[in-house]
Amino acid sequence: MTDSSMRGASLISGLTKVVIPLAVLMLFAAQLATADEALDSVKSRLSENTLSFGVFEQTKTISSLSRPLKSSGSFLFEQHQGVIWLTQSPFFSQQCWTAESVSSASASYWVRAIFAGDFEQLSAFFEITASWSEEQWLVKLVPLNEAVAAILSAVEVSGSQHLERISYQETGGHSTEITLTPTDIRPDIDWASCP
Amino acid sequence: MKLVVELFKWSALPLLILVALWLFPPKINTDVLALVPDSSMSDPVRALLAVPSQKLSATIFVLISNDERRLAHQSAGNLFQRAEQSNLFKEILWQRDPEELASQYESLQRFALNFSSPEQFVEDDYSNWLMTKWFGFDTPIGMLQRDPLQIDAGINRFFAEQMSDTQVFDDAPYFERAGEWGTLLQLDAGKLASSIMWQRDFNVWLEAEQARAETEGYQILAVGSARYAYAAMDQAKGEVSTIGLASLIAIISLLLLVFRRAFLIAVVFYPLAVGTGAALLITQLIFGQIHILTTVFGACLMGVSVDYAFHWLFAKSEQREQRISGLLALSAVSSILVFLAQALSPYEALAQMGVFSAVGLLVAVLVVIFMFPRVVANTTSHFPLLKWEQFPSLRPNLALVIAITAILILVIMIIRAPADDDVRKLQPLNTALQQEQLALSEWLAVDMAPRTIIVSAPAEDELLVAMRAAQIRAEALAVGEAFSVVSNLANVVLPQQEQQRRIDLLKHWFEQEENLVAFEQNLGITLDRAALQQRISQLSVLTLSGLAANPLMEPWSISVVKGAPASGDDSPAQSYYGALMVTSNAEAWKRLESASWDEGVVLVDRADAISASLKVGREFASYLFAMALVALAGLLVWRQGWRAGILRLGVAAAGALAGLMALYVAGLALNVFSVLSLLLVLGLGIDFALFVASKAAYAINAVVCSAVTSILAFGLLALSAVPVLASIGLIIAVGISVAFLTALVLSERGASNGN
Repeated sequence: MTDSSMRGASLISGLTKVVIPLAVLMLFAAQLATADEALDSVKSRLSENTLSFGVFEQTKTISSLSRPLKSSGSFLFEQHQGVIWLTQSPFFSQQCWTAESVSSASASYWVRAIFAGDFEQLSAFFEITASWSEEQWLVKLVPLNEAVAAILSAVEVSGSQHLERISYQETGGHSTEITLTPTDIRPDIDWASCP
Repeated sequence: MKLVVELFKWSALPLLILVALWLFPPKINTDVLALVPDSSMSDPVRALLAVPSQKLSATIFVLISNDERRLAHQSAGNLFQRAEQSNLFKEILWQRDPEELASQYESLQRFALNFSSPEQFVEDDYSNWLMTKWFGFDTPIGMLQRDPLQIDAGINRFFAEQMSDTQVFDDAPYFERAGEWGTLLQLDAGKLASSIMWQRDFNVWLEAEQARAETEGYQILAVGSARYAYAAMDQAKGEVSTIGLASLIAIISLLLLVFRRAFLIAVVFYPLAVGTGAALLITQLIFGQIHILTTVFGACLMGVSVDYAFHWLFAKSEQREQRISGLLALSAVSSILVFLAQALSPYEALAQMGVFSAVGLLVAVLVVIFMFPRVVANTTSHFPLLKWEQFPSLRPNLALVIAITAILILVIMIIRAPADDDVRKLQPLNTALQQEQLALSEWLAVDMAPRTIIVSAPAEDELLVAMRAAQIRAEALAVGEAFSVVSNLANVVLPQQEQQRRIDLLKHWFEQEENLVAFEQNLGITLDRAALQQRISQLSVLTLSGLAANPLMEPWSISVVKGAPASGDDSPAQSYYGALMVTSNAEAWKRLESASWDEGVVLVDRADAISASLKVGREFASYLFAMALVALAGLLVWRQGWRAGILRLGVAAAGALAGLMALYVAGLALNVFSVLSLLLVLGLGIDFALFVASKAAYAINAVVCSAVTSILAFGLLALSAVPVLASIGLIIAVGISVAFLTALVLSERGASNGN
């Protein structure tokens, strides 16, 4: 393969649908999969949570940088609305992923699927397996799609009563780790503030 | 010996026609869009719809699916090779060359900001938006490093949306549905797709491939106009063949029963063959092509030429061939005049049928009049001896009143009768093909027959603004119904003013050193400023012509045209036209149609456009029918006297009226083809009236033979699953039956002894 064609192949990989939703994807990394009882239990557990909220902490480790990028904030998930992601540190920013999107090219599509435990949508892109240890569950996603595999090497999602941790590794040696902690008080997040 | 010489001489004519047909082979057009008259759409609108329409009609979408992607890939690869080897297709699209795609992607990077999301360029907020990207999780870190200012974020999202839920494996597109994998091949046949020969070869090839798929355990779904056209034609051909065979058997049986000479079979079919050949040739020379419906309708009409032969043979058996020639000429002239008038129609499908029928009948009657006396020495009729003069007929005044009443009612009904010109009701419902199309549409999540909203404006930016407004308004009107915009140029290209604003904003942000410093400090990285400077300086505004020039943009490049500016007035020319393709249910479309729109907006439904065209054709045919009644009345009164003339016309009118009533009783409504069928009943009815009125047994016997063959053939056609053929069959079968009986009842008692 020539340099040029390798560059082309790499670029095209990046152009596939996964480009944008990819991180989201891994984020919540779902589980596709199979008639696996463990996975079914995870799906069932997540689908019970029609409403969840709390705080998050995210750490992005970039291979060429000496210090990681850390951010934190609040999140709100409502089954029929979607997800609001409010970053409060190191700067203020709000992102809304609504439940309306039906295009897999949209981040909303993936974010909502994972929070809702609707992992069928991810099955085309990942081989998904789940395991349980006492009340803790762990879902692993291995890319099936070569375009996804060109960017991601591994994704893990875990939790107990709720989704608690999402982590993924990129092929360039980068990694992202997100922890989600439920809170008793609903954060001051309003759907009316979403565009 | 003399007979042999004559036969040799007359065999030259069909040979000449065959040679001419070989030199100028008829091009049969099966495209239903050919029915749309040129005047029904403006040039730009027609141009706007022509390219996607041609592309859709030339392309077959083939989906190969299997439980395992690897097996689907293997089957698709093998099918691709066999498709290439078949030489049926001009181009086959399956795998995409990554290098070529990458090069096309790079060529669009100059216009990256055109594709950016609006929030990226909220005034004075670029820094915050950028931080969201870096600290968020919806962009991979690798991509952030390659493009730290996220200039290409929008273009990447755009391409991701383009892929929809397509996945790429081995450079080929794949879809996954309920555990099954499918990949799509696009087979483009170019102009050949409208050729019947190609459609036949393709369908043979496809059937073989589908049989192979069944054996090897994978599935093939194929959708394209060529399949529908062929299936419809195949069904029509099968049914027309049935009627042809039934007519053939009936004619041969009658010939053998009545005249008992096998030689006459060849003689009787000679005018039919020569007439059809000449009609094909002349129609092809005048129009450059022949529409499939012309051949179907023309073939029905040509059956009349067999009647001419029967009349002559019966007359010959009574040594009355001199007299019958005059009657045949009068009968043929009346029909030919009507069809010549039809040939003047601005509606090409009608004009073609007119030319085809007029030429065919003219040649057939000339052959009967001039050839038959030279090749048929004598005939003996073995027809049962029937005393037709004893058949009850009405008193002259009552007959006249009935004839006039029938004519008047017919004139009123033909103009005012309920009609239904919906083209969709002319086609048979091919359940198997419809299900295949539905299955493929679900796989690909596309509407194979979108409706279109055409928008026009005097300038590019105004067009884009108007198209965006049209989409918002359409979506608001259709709320609650199944409606979505499949493609809209305005969703792809921003007004140039907005693109320039974004470029200026990014340049301005980049020129502020404090922005770059803050960015580097927040992230702990160092920007390659020279490279970024070069990248930003290359950013440019995307124009509609620039969009059209990019091969990746094909779906949109075909949906905009620049029309000629209006001349002769001071109003601004509406010279840019764009198309919004939408998928819509009937209710949503009805709402859109009943709403008021700006002047530059036109709603186009191809089926509705063709139906509107059929309405124009029906109205023309109806007026032609009414005028034909008047002209025939004049001709018959001139040749036969006023009382006899009205009685003859009354017979034909009663037949046509009965055909019309049968149509309504069967729950059908008038359309252009049923009016043309009524015209045919009118012509045949006058023939019957003329011959029956002669009171000569030989003439009435000929009418009986003619009626029997026609009723049998068209009666069979009335059972057709193709609605348009069924209505033609019903009208003609009922019309002829009633015309024959009426001819007997309305003929003057003892008016003639056959001289």
